[in-house]
Amino acid sequence: MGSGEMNTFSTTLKKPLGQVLLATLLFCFIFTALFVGLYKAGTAYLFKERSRQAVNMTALSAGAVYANGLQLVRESNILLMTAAAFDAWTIGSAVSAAALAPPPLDIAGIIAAAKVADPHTRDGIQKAQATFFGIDLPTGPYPELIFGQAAVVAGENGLSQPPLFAYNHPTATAENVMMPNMALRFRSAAELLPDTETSSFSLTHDGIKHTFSPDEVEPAHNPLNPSQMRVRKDFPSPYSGWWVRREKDGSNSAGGSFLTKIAPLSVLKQMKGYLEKFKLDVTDRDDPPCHTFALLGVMPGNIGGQTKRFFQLGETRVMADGLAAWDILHPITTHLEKVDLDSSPVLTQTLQTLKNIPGLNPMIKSSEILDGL
Amino acid sequence: MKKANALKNQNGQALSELTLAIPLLFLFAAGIIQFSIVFLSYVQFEHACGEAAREYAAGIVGKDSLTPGIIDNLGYFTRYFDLSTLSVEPRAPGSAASNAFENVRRSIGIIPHTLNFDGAEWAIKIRCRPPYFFTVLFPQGLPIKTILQVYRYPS
Repeated sequence: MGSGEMNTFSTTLKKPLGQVLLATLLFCFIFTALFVGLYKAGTAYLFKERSRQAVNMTALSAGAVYANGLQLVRESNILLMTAAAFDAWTIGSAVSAAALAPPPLDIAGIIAAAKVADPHTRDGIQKAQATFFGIDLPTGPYPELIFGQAAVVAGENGLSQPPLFAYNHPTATAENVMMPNMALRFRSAAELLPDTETSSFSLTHDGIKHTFSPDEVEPAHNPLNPSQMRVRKDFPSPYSGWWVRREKDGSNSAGGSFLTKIAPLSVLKQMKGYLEKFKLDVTDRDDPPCHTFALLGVMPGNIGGQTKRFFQLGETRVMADGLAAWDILHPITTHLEKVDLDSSPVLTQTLQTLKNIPGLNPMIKSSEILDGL
Repeated sequence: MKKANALKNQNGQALSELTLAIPLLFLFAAGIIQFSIVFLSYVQFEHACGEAAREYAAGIVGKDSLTPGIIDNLGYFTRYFDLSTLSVEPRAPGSAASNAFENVRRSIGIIPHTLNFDGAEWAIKIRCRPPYFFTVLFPQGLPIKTILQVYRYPS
C-alpha cells in the first residue's frame, strides 16, 4: 500500500461513512468470533456427551460378559462340588476306621490315610476351571473374552483403539490391574473351620482374612448400600479404601460350623494343614466381593478442522450374591459406577505411569481425568 | 419541523444509528441463543439415546422398544424435535471384529447355559426442528444421527 493510498484510507476513516464502516466491520468480527466460539464449545460439549455414552455402553457390555462368566463359575461349581463330595465320601470311608478307634487319636495316621485314599476326582475339573477362568494364572480364555468383547463394543461406539481397561481395580495390584482377570480363587476346606478371632469388621483377600476395629473403618459412600463400610483412607494399611464386611455381634462366625458337625473342632484344628491344601470350589478372590471393570476411553473428534481427543473414565460393578453351586439361582446384576480415583491408588498409579509415557503425556494432560492428582 | 432538526444534530444522528443498530444486535443475540438451543438439543438427544440403551442393558425394555425411552428422556427438548421422524433401526455391527465375535457367540450359544448375554446395535435418527431462524434456514429440520451398541445379561 503506497503512502497516497494510506492517506486516502485514513481520510476515509475520519469521515462519518468511514467510521460507520469501521464500526460495522468490528461488529461483524465480534459476532463471527462469538459464533465460532459457540460452535467450537457446542461441538466439544457434544463429543464429551457422546464419549460419556460410549464409555458407559462399553462398561455395561463388559459387565454383561463378566456377569455371564460368574454364572458359568457357579454352573461349573455344581460339577466340582459333586466331584468334591465324592472325594470326601471316599476319604471319609477310608479313614473312618482310624477315626473311630479308641483315643488317643492318631491324627498323622488319619491324614496319611486320607492322602492315600483321596481319588482326586475334582482335580480335572479344577484344572479345567483354572485354565478357562484364569484362576491362579495371569489370564484365561474367558477373561480374554471380556477384553475382546469390550474392545469390539468400544470400537462400535466410536472409541479409538486400543482402549485401556482395568480389572477389579479396587483390590488389584499394579501388576495385574491391566491383565484380564475375574478376581477368582479356589476355596480351601480350612476356610470352613469356624474362626474364634473376634472382630467388628473384616475383609478377605486371596483367602487371607484381615480384621479391623470400628476406629479403623469409615462409610464407603456406596449409594447402592449406604451401610457399606471401608477401611479408612488415612489408615496406614495396604488395604486402606477397601470394602469391609461387618461381623455379626462383633464375633467372626464366617465359614460356619459345617465341619464341626463331622468332627470335633480340636481334631479339625490339628488337620488344618491338610484342609488348607484340600481345594474346594471357585469363589471370589475378595470378601466383600469385588468384580469391577473400568475403562479409559478416548474418542477422537473434529472441532473446527482440528482433531481433539476426548477422554472419559467409566466403571461397572458386577454384583453376584455368592459363586457357590447353591447360589446358582441368585441374580447377578451390573451397575454403572462413578470412578473414584481417590479410593483407587492402583488406578491412579497406573494413570500416572501412562502420563509419564512420552506419546501419551500430552493426550492425558489435556484431559480432565488427572486433574488434582 | 423541530423533529427534523433534531435528527440533523449530533445527538439525533446517534439516536438514529442506535435505532438501526439495536434490531440488528437483537437479531444476532437471538441467533446466538438459538444456535445454543440447537447444540443443547443435540446433546440432549445423545443423552436420551444413551439412557434408553441403558434401560435395554438393565433388562427394562426390549431391543425393539427404545422409542418411548428416548422420547421420555428428551424431556423439555421434545419441542425442538420432529418426533414423527424418530427412527430406531437395528444395525448390523460395522466392524469385522464385531461380526467375528458375534459369530463366535452364536456358535458357543448353541450349548445350553454357556453364553447368556446378548447385544444390540442401533442407528437412531431424528430431525431437529430448531426455533424461528433455523426453521427458515432449514425448513426440513436438521438431521441428527447416533449409533450405539450395548450388551446385556441375562439376554
